[in-house]
Amino acid sequence: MPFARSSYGIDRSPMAADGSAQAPGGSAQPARGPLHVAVPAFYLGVTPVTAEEDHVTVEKDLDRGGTPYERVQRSPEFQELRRRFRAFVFPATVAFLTWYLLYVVLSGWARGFMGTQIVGFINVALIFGLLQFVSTFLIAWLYARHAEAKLDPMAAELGARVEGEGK
Amino acid sequence: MSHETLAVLLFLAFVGGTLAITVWAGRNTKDASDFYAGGRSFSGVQNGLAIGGDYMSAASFLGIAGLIALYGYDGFLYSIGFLVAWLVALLLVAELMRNSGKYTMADVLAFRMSPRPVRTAAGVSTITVSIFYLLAQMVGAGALVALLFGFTSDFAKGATIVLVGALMIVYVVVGGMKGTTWVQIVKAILLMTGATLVTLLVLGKFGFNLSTLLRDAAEQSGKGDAFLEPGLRYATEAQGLSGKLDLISLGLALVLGTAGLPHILIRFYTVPTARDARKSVLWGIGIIGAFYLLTLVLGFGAAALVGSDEIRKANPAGNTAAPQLAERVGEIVFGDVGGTILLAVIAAVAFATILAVVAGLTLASSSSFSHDLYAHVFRRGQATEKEEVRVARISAFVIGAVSIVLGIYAQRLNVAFLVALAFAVAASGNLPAILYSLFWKRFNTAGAVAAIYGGLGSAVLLVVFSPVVSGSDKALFTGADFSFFPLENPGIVSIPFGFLCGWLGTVLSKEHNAEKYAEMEVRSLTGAGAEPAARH
Repeated sequence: MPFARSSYGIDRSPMAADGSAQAPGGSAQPARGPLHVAVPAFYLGVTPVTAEEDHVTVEKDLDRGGTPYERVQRSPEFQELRRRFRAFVFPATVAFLTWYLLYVVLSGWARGFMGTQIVGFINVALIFGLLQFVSTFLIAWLYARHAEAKLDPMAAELGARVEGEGK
Repeated sequence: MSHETLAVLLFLAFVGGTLAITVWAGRNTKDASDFYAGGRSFSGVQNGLAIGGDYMSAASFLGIAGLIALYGYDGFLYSIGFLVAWLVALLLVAELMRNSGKYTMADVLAFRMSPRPVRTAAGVSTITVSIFYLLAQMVGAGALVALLFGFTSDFAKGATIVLVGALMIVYVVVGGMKGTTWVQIVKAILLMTGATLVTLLVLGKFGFNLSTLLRDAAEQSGKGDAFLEPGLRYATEAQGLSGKLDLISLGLALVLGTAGLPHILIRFYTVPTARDARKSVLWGIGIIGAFYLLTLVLGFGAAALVGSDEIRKANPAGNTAAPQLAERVGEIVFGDVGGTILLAVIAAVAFATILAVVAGLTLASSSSFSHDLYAHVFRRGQATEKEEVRVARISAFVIGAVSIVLGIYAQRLNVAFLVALAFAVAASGNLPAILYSLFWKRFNTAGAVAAIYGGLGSAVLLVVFSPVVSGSDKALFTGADFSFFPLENPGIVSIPFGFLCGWLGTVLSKEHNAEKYAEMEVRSLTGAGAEPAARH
């Protein structure tokens, strides 16, 4: 099978109503002609496991290879959804854990600094502790906003696509 | 009327109300999805309240308020760890788990792995963590009745443990997840109302000036400004470096343990979609955060208005600080009758708190026993739903009975360390397995089994050889000394060890199921194929 008939074996219509959920690499994509089998995996947003597997996977999958889940997993839209999810949650996790550990370490090692009184009997330790509450509420709120705007519409579209393909 | 009588009446009203709800919930529990996951029909707000009810244990309410009242600032450290921990659950676990799992933590782990070894490991870990936690709560209930009602005999404490155990068994066996969730919702509302009321009265007494409250607390504590700074309880100067490492160790277990606690994880299955799971964690964070801010005022308020000496006289660990404060502030504002009423209200709320938490723990462990060990390991997936639910009910009864017996046996022992141990085990064994499973493509059966047994085993062993079990006058066994591990909290060693075991087990095994990983990843992020809410 030297040429694939459709680009990915799945519908490539724009997904979210706000148009934010299109494939990476440009907004208005012209309809593609038949793709050559040797298209590099990174072009499709697939992380190749080995160099050898790379092209083989693409050849097999350009049309109907694998399960519906595998086809969706390889699609640029899904890769974009995963990127958006991880691009928020991984840095946010590193940030709040570092911030929290800084607080714990300072409580153990920087007693003088933590005991400095700022306003009346309110000291740095108490303010630092209360800021942990503020940062927790803030990150939770930012994530909720990010998920509503950037993840949910795309997830719903892809979810419907999987369930459609499974039938 | 004495405060004891009033507290008993209020408590009986709570029990009567929740039992009625439980019977109603039991009538609406028809299949496995109802029993394990409440039919997945709770709303985000309801489940958020239930998360609060499940999480804010007596250890949080009475324990943290008491810690702050006696040691000042250091008690606050616990609250912060307990709250920040919810970000791990929100960002990394709740939604993905709702989309890819069914009834238990093991469903997510077994998704792309060999089910029997993984479910066995997850079941063992779930039951161990839940029993540790359960035991600490049961013993706490026995101690509480002694403190609030002046019953000091072992018989009265034992009778309380039997009563609490019997009620939790009824909630779980009859009401399943639906009944348990409603008990937790009612408890969360009562606890928040009670804590808010006392907090407002305390703040009013100090003209809503936090600085004045802190000044009086520091003065009454007899420790001066040091009371408002870290270092009186954890990492004291006398403890030196090991104290500081212990503090970090505790901090790690608190922040990473929550998202690995089985009774918390199964709450994400009770809502219809991953979006609702997110919403419920957001509500949970709001409620839990607000609650810990209230306990801060309660703790410092108790130090300022009751005084550390009087609190320590009633209970050396400070567990009665919140009820004592309620009585004192009630007297100040409304006179003697007000003090009696407020004390009774807070005492009844404390019991409701314990009941809701132990019910959640019993449900989590019996679900795992039935769904993971019985249905998938013993019966190799051949059990019908009816059989599964029957076994879950029987195991709730057995686990409840076992914890009653252990609770009575342990009531003279110092088991407060079991809560921290439950968090450490959850962070060391369960969390690595869950995170690797959700995020690491290469992860496999050997890795999951190694992470759980490695994390669980190292955390428990290190505690066995720590100063909390032997070698000090506050230890579990005061007569012996086999403590060669210097820290009270194992997390700083066992958490990295659990992650390391998971990695090592994975790379040493060739197993990898790409097809199932694709299914899990797509399902977890898109919600395709996720378990739907019940239609009845």
